Amino acid sequence: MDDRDLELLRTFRADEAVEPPGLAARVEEDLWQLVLAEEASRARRPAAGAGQRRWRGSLLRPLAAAGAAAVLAGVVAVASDGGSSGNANVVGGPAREASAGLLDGAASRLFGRDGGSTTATTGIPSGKIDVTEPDAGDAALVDGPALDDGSLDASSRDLVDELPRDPTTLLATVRAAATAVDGSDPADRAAFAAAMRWVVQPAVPTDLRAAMLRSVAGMAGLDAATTGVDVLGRTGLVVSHFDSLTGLREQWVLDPERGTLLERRAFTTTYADPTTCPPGTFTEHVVLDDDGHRVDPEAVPYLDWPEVLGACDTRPLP
Amino acid sequence: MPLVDRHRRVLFGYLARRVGRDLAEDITSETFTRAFAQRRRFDQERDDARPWLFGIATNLLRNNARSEVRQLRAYTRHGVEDRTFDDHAGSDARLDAVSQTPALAAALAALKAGDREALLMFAWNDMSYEDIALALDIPVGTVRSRLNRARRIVQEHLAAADADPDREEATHGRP
Repeated sequence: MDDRDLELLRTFRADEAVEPPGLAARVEEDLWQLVLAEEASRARRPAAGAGQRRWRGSLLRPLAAAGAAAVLAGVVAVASDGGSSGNANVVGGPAREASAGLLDGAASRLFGRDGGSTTATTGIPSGKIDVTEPDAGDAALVDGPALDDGSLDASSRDLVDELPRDPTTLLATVRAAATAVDGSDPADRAAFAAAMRWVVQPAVPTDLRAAMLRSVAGMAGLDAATTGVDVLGRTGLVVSHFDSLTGLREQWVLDPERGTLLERRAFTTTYADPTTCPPGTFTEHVVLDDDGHRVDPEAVPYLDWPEVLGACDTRPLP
Repeated sequence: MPLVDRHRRVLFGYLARRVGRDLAEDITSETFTRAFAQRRRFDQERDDARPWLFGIATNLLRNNARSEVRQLRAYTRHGVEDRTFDDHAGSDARLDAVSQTPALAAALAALKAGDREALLMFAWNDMSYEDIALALDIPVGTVRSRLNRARRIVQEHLAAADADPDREEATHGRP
């Protein structure tokens, strides 16, 4: 059998195959709507018993135990202890409003209603604030030139003073900075991480921390802000972001009194490419103790999972 | 690279060539949302999600089988514009392709749906017999027999068109 038929077929209607420019965005939007609908549906189910909702010291266990069912949206429900946020488990459209309300309340409680700065300046004209290390504490106030990569990660003190405190305006600034570094950021993944780095940094003026936390409420992919517990069982504010492009969920657990970082975790969900790593695989995981120092990975089960995966770590959870 | 980015372009291309770009956009998006909804069924032992996605897309395409055949018969009557063929094709190949369009469209319209699915996955996407079998949920041996049958019918139409160039237009592609 000669191959003339196949050769002709390969050219048949070939120009139809060119992808239209808006298709990627449409697919992403359709998927995002489905994710929100699924999470809203999940949230409407009867609440689990109190014993099931308190994952003291074993927060990660349900990820593996429940497998694919747990990791997409369930993690948000797992992280919640149904505490003061009331309807914080509700996600989707109403959830966004609830989350925004919680973030606004947390910003006021943590950093003051009027956002007055309580951080003394160092008086270093050329100094900068470096927020790249979550355990830097006051050491984030350092001398030296600011980064010139367009990011806000290590910004001059002057720029910090100039950053807008209006959340909407600040959101635009953060997005612009994130895009300058990462290029396209349609799901606000980079912007979310950038803003949260500022929120948890005690060396940053509190009015700016509050504005950053409020700006997060307007980001794409914010799928929940709720109260929950971290891997060590400490109760905190859980701010969760879902990147529908990669299927990665990133969660920051904040100290409820100081707004500092307790835990940051990023992991694959069932929406991530299933041929790459199984759902529930951690890609990043940082835990700080009450003094703001990194917890020894050996002391926390599975904290030693690879921070950046070259290969999947598929060890089963206990 | 995320699943959607890795497969969207190829999937859309396949669908657009079968049912047109407008419908292909709808089915592409629907394929990914269904894949998301059915994600627990995906066998993670497999190292490629493409057959799985093509299987979902094929099921969606079957709802539009009549539209596809209607379009193919229209090509049989009127041919397709020259731009339909690869600009990089050599002039002889290009002329051959243009002149054979009605015969090709008639042949595709004449195929059973299952035979057409197997043939186009093979011809357009270079999918292996095993991947086509996974996508269509049939044994590999059935893929082989469907491909043989489909290619024989296409070649018969092409041979008939070579012998009588006006035949397809006269019969409107009907056997």
